[in-house]
Amino acid sequence: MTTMIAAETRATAGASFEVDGLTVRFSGKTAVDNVSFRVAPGEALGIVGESGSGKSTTAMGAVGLLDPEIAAVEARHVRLDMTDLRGPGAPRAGILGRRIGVVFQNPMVALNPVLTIERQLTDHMRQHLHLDARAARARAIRLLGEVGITDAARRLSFYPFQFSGGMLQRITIAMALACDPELLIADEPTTALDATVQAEVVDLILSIRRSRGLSLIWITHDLALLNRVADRVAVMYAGRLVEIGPADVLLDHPAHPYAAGLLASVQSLWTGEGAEFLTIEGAPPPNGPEMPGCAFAPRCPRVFDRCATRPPMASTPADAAHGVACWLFDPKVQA
Amino acid sequence: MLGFVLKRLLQAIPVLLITSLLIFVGMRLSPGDPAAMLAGNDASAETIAAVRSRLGLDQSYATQYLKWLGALLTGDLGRSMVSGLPVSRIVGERIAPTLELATGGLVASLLLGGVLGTLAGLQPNSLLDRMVSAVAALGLAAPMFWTGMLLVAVFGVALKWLPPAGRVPFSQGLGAALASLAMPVATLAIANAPVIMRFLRDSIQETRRADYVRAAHAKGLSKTVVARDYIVRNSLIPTVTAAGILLGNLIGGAALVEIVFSWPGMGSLLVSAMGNRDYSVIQAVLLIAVFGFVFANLIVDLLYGLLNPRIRHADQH
Repeated sequence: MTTMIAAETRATAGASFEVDGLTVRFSGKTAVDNVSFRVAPGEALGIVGESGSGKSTTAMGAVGLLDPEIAAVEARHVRLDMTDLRGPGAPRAGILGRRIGVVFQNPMVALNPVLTIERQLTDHMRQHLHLDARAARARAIRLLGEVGITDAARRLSFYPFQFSGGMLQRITIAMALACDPELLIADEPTTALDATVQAEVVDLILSIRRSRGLSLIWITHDLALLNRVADRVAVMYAGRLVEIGPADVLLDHPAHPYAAGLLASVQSLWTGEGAEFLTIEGAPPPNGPEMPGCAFAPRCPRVFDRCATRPPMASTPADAAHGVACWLFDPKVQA
Repeated sequence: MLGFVLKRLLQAIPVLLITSLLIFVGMRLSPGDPAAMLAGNDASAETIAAVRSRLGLDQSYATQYLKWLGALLTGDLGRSMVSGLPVSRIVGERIAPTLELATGGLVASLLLGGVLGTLAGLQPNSLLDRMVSAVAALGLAAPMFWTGMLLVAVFGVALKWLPPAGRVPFSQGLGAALASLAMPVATLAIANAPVIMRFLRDSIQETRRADYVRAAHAKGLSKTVVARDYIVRNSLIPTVTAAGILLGNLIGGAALVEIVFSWPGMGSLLVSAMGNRDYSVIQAVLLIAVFGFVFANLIVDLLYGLLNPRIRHADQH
């Protein structure tokens, strides 16, 4: 098959992924408000935020994985390279699972308990790449080897309950890679795993990303992890993107007061004994995405009158690749 | 697999023993004296005593029970207290009609409930879903004898499409046999399909939200494949349990339907035997019903193992 040869011989360069003006509402209530970002080909973007900040909803909404019965998703566009995923008549079929692979948080529930691993590793392969059973099986064995599962040929006939959590996550990674995607979305792929296994899974995804040249979106609440996995970092708060920039710059010198507070609290944890654990007073507002002004204003140590209106996302004066949604960095305020 | 079947059959032995005792005691405790009924209204006390002695009813309960049980173990169901014919022959003639009815009722209930439950489950809150749910509630609420009589009044008497009562054996022509079976089977299905339909619908709606279903969508599988391999297949597991409950309903329901449609099965046999206090026939029919129920549940358990690999592989872990 030509499609297959193309997939096999392509230098598996990652694709660019661009989200513009994504808004998600659950039964009328805004959960993600006007989020835009771009992942360059082969780049790894880390999306960080606390529970409920909308980081997963952003990624799942962008690729059409939210239940349409409960979620209304709007966007100006969502593009994988030149292909628009959200426009009218968008060729969604053939994109998800084929050019975009997704790894979920909890592998113990991400696999169908009543189907064999072989069936689950090959059903989308056969659909997207039009492989016959033998070719799909051979490919599945190769994939399991790539994710570090030994004795793959025998284990193909196993059911999910016959594997440990760490092994299952390797299998779901193999599933996501099955059709040679150009973009991998990892939605907190280590959160549900034992601490000892977490590092292995991080290493595995990073090595696969390097060898395949994948574009990567890694969703996490773990700032420390971002240092290792991300080229660029996007910080979300209360359903809005508040800061986005190169990982080394942003993690060293966060601009947004929320990002700065988040980093300070994590660093106070690292310095350990004796040091006071820094926290941000208060909790995120439940209606954050619907607030007319900055959603962080009620907790912000540097709040001022302009914060009652919503700050636009704009480049920081020092770095054009570093964006922040905060009035403190508005040229007029600084002047 | 064979070991599993054998184990389950062995487990059935105490169940059958206990139910045989319950059936026996239940019969002796129920009012009415078979000897007096058999001897007739004007019979003298001596005649009644003679009949009682001939039937062995003058012996102690323990002796009677052990004798009955001993005969059962050799495959002897005894003789009818009324006609004197072997019970095995009387019951033998009635088993096929009842099996026809129960099998037809089961298949129709599973098909109707399965199809409607799947459609309603995959399209929650759609017009179809709401219509199916409303009709199911009606079917559940309507008493079976009423549904049966309504069907007879409409299709048997007013429209004359189907014979209003009675059974035509399959040996006398497929068409006529199916026509005679249609209304009794429909009556059973109307009462029992809603059970399957509701179970399957709820199970599917819950499964649709499972993480592995979202993961299947993330693989870009077509809607049909996701529905078939990831939603319906998994939803069948709890539904099989409901089907097991259904079998119990069908055994009881078949008796009722047999009366309404003058169907010459075990149910109508049981009712006439009850009227005559024909202990040996009643005991045999009830025991066979219990055995049928135990056997049906064994099938359900095997099916469960077939659908759920975790149970199938339980012996390896």
